[in-house]
Amino acid sequence: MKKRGKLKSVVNAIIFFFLLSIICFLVVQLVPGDPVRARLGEAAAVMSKDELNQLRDSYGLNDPIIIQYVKWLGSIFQGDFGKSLISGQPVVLEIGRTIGTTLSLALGAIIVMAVVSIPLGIVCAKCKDGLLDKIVNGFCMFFTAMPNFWLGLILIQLFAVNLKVLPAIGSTSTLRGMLLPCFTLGVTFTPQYIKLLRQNIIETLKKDFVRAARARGISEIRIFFFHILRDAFTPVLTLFGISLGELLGGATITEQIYTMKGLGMLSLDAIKHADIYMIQAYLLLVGICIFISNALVDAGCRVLNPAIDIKGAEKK
Amino acid sequence: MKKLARKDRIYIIVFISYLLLLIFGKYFTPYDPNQADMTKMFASFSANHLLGTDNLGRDVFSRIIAGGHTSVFTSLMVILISLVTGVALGLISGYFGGAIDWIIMRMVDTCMVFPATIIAIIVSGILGGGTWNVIISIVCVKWFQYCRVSRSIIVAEKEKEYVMSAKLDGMKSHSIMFKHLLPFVTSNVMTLAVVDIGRVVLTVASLSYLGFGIQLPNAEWGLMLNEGKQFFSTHPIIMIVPGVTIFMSVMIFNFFGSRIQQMVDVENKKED
Repeated sequence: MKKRGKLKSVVNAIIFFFLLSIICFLVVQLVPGDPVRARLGEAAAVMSKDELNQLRDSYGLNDPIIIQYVKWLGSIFQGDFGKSLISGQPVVLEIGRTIGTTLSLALGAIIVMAVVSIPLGIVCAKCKDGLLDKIVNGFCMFFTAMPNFWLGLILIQLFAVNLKVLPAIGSTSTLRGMLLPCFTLGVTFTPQYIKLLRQNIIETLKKDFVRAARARGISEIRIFFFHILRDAFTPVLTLFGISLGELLGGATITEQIYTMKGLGMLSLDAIKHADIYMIQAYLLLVGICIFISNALVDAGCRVLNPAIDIKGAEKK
Repeated sequence: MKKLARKDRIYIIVFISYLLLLIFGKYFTPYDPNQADMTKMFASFSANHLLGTDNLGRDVFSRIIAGGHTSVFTSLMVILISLVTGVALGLISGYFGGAIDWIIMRMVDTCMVFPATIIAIIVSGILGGGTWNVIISIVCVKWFQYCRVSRSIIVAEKEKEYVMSAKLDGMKSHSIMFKHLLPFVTSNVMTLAVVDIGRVVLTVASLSYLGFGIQLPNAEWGLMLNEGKQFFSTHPIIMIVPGVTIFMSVMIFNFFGSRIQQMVDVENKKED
């Protein structure tokens, strides 16, 4: 059984990467205008039609689209993503330079998410329908409706302009510079986690194994942290896998507000200037990152809740 | 349907009148929302200009209302198109199964992996701004939810006996799908759509804020934020007004959405 499952996931992974590469390739075809003219810039105006056509030949742009795709895929496997049309440097280098900022921003946001939503979710479930629950519910409604770009601007105005305690421009080198961006990015994700955690804990509390644990005389604290939380955390982890992608998207907006030179800013610039190679590489990178993180989350769920494997086997 | 509770009736009235205000308010604005008047830059709140004027002397109140029209029109179109595409593909995929199902589901899986914001930004960036391109770019990241939900309902529903008997009666596939299966999907999918409105409004606003969405001189809330950004430290008010508007609208939509969801859940439980 297990072997077949593994084979199936490998096949799915291959299909996924195939589709991913097709999407990334097609993105370039969607860009309006002539890629040769885009690459040459103003120099294209002085060239004759024949010269342009020759150039197009040398880039392989006159080949049938399938051959272009295969060639492109081959160069990707050799690690050649092309050169950025803006700076003229290899795309890989540019991405390598900026990815650190985005990763630390995302990590900071994840810490904010965990610090805010786990305690609040637990507290809400513990005093269900109480005053605290209602207050947190209000907090959730507030931050679901809050556009995070506006939140960022207001935080800048408040903390950087009026109170002058934190810098308006984010930087990953200091903790103070990280505080506002990470909070802006992280807090908009908290409502869904608080709600999910609250719901799951309430449901788990009713389950039989909790009663059985109580009957065995295990202390309430132990039951809560080792039995209930463990069970209630599986869906949270799944949601986390989905959020990782959105985190990268949100990072784009956050980086723009706090003028941080991260992957998001890089991609925004690339999109504005139709820098196709950069967009391609960015899309591929995001897709692969998310695929890997989803696989990790899946494995994490299995560790937390071994019953998933058993249920899966029973279904077959 | 049972008589609604008084509270719910109030919610529905508030929601619908808000929608109507946003959709038709455009035709009753006190000023032309795009009319610039350099003599009256950054006016504060007054009886003439309810919410003051912006950096080009345009009446903010009129622009907010006109922007509301753009936001709501765009968001409703996004939901409508994703709903139709998603449900249609979901019906086909769930009803026929086999290879078609496999292909559609792999498409859905791949689309789901990509973060919505990034794809919306890239698609609208490549297509260029403008209302319809924004709509297309957000539909790209919305359709598959509806597809998944409707497919899962159809897969469960098509095994039932009445579908069998319809088949035996020689009913055509498409009429089985439309007459028997579609009604089952509607209530679930409609709830999903109502819950989604708030999120789509936010996405439209953030696209416009980044400059990939609705283009000037049209008024749109996110675009107004983008324009007002540079005057934030000197005239914070032209930043706060559109922000509060987005916040309030999304709040109203979300509140109504979650209420509808609760009502449908209760109904479903009763049926069980």
